[in-house]
Amino acid sequence: MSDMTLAPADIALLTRLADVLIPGTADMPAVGEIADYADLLRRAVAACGYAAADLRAAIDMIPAEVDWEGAKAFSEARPGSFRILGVIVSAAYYMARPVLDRLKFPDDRRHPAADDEFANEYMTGILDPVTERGPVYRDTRQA
Amino acid sequence: MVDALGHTDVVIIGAGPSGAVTAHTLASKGFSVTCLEQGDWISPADYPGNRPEYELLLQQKWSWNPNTRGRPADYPMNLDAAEVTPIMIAGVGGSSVFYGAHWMRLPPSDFRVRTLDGVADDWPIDYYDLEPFYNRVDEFLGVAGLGGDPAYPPQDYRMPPHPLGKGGMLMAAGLNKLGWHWWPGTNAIPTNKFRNMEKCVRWGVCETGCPAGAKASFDLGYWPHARAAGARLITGARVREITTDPQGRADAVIWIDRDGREHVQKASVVVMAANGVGTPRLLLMSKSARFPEGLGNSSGLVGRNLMLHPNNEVLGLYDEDIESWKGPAGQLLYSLQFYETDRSRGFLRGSKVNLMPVPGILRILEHFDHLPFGKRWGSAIHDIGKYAGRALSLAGNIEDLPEEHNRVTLDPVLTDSDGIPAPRIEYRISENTQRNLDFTLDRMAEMHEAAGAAHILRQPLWKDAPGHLLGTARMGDDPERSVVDRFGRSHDVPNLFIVDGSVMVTSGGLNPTATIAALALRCAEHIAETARFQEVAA
Ligand SMILES: Cc1cc2nc3c(=O)[nH]c(=O)nc-3n(C[C@H](O)[C@H](O)[C@H](O)COP(=O)(O)OP(=O)(O)OC[C@H]3O[C@@H](n4cnc5c(N)ncnc54)[C@H](O)[C@@H]3O)c2cc1C
Repeated sequence: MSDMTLAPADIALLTRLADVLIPGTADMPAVGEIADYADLLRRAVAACGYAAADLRAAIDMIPAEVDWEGAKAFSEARPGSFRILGVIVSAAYYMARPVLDRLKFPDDRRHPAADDEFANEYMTGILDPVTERGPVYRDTRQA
Repeated sequence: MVDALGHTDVVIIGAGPSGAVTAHTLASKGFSVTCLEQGDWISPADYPGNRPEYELLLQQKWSWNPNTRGRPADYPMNLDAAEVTPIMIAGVGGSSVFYGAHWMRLPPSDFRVRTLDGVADDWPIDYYDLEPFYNRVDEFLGVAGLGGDPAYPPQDYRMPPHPLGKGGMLMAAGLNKLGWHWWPGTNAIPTNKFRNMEKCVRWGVCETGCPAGAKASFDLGYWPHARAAGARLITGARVREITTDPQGRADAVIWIDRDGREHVQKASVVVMAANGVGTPRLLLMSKSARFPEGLGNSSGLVGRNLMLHPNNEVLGLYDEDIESWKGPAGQLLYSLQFYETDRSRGFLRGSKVNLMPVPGILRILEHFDHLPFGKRWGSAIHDIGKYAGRALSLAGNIEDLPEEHNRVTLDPVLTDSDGIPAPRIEYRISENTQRNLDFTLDRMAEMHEAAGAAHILRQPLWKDAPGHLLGTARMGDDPERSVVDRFGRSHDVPNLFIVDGSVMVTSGGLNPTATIAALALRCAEHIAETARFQEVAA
């Protein structure tokens, strides 16, 4: 876990980088549409396994007015640092509820199976070809 | 040094599955049992899986690799000569707290590899010796599965299997198209409420601890019952040595608490349940004038024949909405099509392939890190991200044959936080295993193809997986070729037993915990039955 605290300036830089790397589309929200993106960045940084010094150095490498060309140049010049930030901004983005909603990831993680769910699958005959072929193990009592 | 705990009939080192089964069995029969565990109870409230950032938490805080985690409960390992990392979790329940709960028996051929295939060794017992113990552990844990798998002798389960789900049905149809074996996953994950376990709610994060209390990890599946039967469990207790009396019998263990104080636990019987790395480490540390090569090591085989089951993976991304955020994970299905030896493949033995849903998004994205900037970022990321919830993982669990040069020794320099020598792991993937890996990788790609995957992504080796630590104190009838007898009793020290995966003669190509638990139950009952020869109060 990184013990690094993101300053407002860090959040601003990371958000700008995220805007470039993960732009909004007709189907997917832009970073600017995610109200809690700053909180999610903090959460990602707190959870990740990168050393604080590596994170600090990577953030300090983000060009001040980063654009597509600047981000590309950064990725080519310092791939290791860029990779760290790519993971952080993506993690924050894909934790956001509006993003997960578009991807049809349910909010509630509990999905208990109905009692007859497997039975219904079985009744389609999906296993018949396997059972019809008969035993395939080597019985060592005859070996 | 303080002798705070008095005498116990049986001391068990390690509170993972093997220690839990042994503790429960012996305490239930009236023996006084003390289990010493270097880790702690891990609270389900702390599990990473119920947090949105769980994939990041696995990078370090909850990494499966103890070297990366580096907690006080963990000991470090020197991995300079290891091509695969022996991952593990230290705590009550051991690695089962994070295991996938794929619950597989070894089929009969695994016990007769020498006879059938001319390599390795036969076990001193066979499938039918172990079958009743498999059945009883399955029954106790409420294992969920479908009887009748033609890859096994007849077997059945208490709980019905989990549904295959959309992804499982897709893959099953693909395997049928190929004419290949598959079977609905057998999981130590109850499909209905069972004892103190909840019904599975398919959270999908089994391998980071079940937030719903619905997985038979052994802190839940066995320890409450062992403690109710009277077993005493001491956490934060790291054993550093087993001592012997003048007759060469084990008489006590020395352990260190978290404040660095040493304690002596006297016992009539010592049971090692510290896994395929921790057990040889401790035996090698327990040297004395009588046992100069380490305790129970007259064969010189303690620590040798380490088998780690290298795993590989092929990820399939599907255009269909297959709800891959839904568990269990756990295995939706498995295939044993390539399990038995077929010499025409160019290697001996085989592998198991299992299908798991992939709920995590970062794991999918990282597969595309090699793409040029313009294809990985910008609007292109959404072409990758859209596969979140549409990813299925096929993993190959590759049989690893025993080789003496793959081994655990004591590192001359590295120590744990108590100053005890750390294990050094020497492990190379053999040519036979590599061929098996390559073959299985290609077959898994074909499975995804047949199931209609839009993208197929290969991972030739998972370096940090799968936590199957086997073979380092093998069982056998010949004391020169094995460390323990067919019940797990040391050939050299009559009241020293080993119940973890160290005793396995061959690894099989299957997840080992069902076998480890069955062997532990069998060994524990043998200890009880022969107690009058052990100086244990029956
Ligand atoms: C991520 C992951 C997924 C897995 N998935 C599966 C699966 O799906 N199916 C399957 O069958 N298996 C799976 N496994 C393997 C399974 O968890 C192990 O086979 C099982 O836990 C072995 O049980 P054990 O009791 O032998 O050892 P462990 O579970 O390793 O327990 C040993 C215990 O001994 C303690 N110990 C070690 N040394 C000392 C000492 N000196 N003093 C005191 N205590 C000590 C350790 O802290 C540990 O708690 C998985 C493992 C991992 C890590």
